[in-house]
Amino acid sequence: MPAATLIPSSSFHTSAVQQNVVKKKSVSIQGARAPKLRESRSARIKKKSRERPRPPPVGERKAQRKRIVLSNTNALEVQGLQKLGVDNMADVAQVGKVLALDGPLLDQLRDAKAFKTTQNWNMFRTPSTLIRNETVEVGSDIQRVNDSVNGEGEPATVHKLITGEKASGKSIHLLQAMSMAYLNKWLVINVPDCQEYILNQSAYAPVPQTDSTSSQMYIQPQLASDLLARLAHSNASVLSSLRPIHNHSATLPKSANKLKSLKDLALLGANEHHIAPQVWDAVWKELTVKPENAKEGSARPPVLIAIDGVNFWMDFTRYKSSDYKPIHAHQFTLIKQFLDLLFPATKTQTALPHGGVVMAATTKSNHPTTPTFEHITTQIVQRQANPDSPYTPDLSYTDPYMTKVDSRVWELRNRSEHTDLVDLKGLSRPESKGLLEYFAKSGIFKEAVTDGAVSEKWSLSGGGIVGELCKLSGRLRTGIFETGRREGVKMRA
Amino acid sequence: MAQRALSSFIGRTAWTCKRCRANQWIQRGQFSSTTTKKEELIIKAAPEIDLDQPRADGPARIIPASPSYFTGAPIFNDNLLLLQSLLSRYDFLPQVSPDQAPRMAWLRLSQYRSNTGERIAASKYAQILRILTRLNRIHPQLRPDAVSAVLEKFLRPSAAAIQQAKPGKVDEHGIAKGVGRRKESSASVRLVEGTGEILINGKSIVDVFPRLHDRESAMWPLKVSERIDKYNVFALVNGGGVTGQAEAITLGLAKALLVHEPALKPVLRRAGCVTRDPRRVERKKPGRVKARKRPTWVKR
Repeated sequence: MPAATLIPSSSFHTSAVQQNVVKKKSVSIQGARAPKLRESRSARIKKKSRERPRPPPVGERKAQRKRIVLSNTNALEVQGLQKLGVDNMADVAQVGKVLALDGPLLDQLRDAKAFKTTQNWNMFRTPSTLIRNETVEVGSDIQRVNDSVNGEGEPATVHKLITGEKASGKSIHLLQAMSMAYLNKWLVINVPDCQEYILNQSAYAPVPQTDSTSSQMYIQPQLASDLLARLAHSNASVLSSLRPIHNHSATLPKSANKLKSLKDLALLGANEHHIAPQVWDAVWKELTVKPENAKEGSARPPVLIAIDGVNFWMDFTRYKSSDYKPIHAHQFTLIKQFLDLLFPATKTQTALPHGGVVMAATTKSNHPTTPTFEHITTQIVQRQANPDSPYTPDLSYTDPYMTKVDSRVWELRNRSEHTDLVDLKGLSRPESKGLLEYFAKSGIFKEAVTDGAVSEKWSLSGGGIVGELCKLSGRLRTGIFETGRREGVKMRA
Repeated sequence: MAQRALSSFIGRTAWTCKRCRANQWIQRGQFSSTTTKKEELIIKAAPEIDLDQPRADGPARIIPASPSYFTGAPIFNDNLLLLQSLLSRYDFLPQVSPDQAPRMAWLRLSQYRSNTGERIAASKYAQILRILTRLNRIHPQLRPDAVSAVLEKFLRPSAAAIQQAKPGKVDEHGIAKGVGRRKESSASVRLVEGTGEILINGKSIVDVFPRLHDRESAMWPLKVSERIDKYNVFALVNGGGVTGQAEAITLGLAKALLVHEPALKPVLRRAGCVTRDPRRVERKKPGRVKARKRPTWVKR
């Protein structure tokens, strides 16, 4: 250490170094820093900058909300769970059993947006579904169409309108039909939510009118694009084996003629939504090639069209015309096309020349009031109940409280003759028992599945309403059953 | 008749006169309120003073018949003293638990007031009621006649007839009816042997009670007795809210079930389905925001 840096350590020293060590006198408040007369005297605390948690990236919340979870590793694996297949889909012996949906089928259903977040797939190890009477009926319908396609006669087409109480299994019924169609190598066109088509949340444009008498029609390019995407991805294996036979150069870009398969054609519309309506028309034209016109190697499979929430399509939409008047749902080309398929004008009309099933389910949650459509459904029910009585299209209007009849919807009445109405009611006791046993085997239902327990759940779920039954059996148990006393009720002497 | 007999029993004590009877209990000297000797107790009221023929040996002044005459409520005090003396005398007798004591309908406060003609506070009458219920708990086989006689006097007129509920009947269609109430709701429930179908106001139970808890509490009598699949329920319910309607159905259903199977009463009572819940919304008071809530305190 150099001597120059040494500080003298003597306490008796008057050098400048020592003076620095001595504490300075604190400046009195009357000094230069004292607050002025009108200045605030309170202590000034420096504001801390609050750390806000970063919001999740755009789209993440929606993805979380819409996420479909199909498996739960906490649930027990059900031993001896059979798979839904072509051989057992129309087997009456399977009624009341739960069958699993296997790997590739799950991907197809997922691509078709057949699963919903409200359904309880995330409670079980394997996604599986209860086979009920109506399921077997759909299975036999599909078999019938298959038989007609393979046979001599004209390919059959089935038209079904599915109604039922809230949580009575209408959407699941559509999903089961779709699964069967995929297993049979059919083409499946799914409309998972009809509400999308009327809420004015996607682009729309008028179609140039050819004659002034008909009402103005509109296209929805984005929705057509989504439809094509669902079609292309979920039916990829079937569509890629189908070759286009028409020349679409009039409506589509020239590159469309070079496409090898219908999958590529559908993907063209899925990727470029501005031409999606035209692509959809082209795909539909290809799918409905008349069998006699078809060239060799261009056979087409039957088609299943599944529409969920069809009662949203029975009223005016949120879209506005150029006069700022609400546009009716039937003025949209896609909606009109699907409704024409659901309610065919004549029985001989072959909108689906290769056969198929058109199914549409109503919705009962957040549903619009559509009195005209409800009246039509009651008429179909009456007609089905009394098939012998001649159905008159001019059946007098009986509801005196219905002030305004929706004339567009009312026209469907004349075409409703070929549409079957399936009213989904509660499950039967054996079906309920099968469902509860599946819950018990999965470790969710903790009671013994006795006839008494089944009856009790059946009654409390409003006569076997399947959604309510699932809620009841998936509920966490409380101790009140062991004590046999209701909570909160005091005994009085 | 009973009322008249009662009013003569707990009637007005008057000055001793020809027309009036003296207090019987005290004259009999059966019950003493004090520990003094028996002969001291027998206080004879003086005969009415005949002003025309004054008796030289008669009492110099008029004595009231009741020793409690100079209290504010002499009849009440007499009764209270009597009951207290009875209690102290028979305190040693074995008792039964309150739920095994015979059910008695005592005079209501208003009835007691009108019988005595005295302004008795509710808290004062509660003292009497407390002793009455205590005396009632004396083992029925060992209860002295004296106690029974006094207790009878405090019974509500024709109480026995009131207590007996009309037994329900299953009609010719096999339907039993029960009416239940809770809060503002009232339900009439019809129960018939069946397979567990439920209709409430013509609708499914799921539509009427979307909440599972309400559904369960409505069907609770059938559930605890494990008979949910043995009967069909048709209920009509109106008034009040969802909880009230559900619990009104509980009571109505329990009553209807008891018509079919009276032996289920202990089970249903243990499950809390038999007794009407008398709780209502507490009234709002002046100076309060709600029933109990006080206004926020403001300094100035």
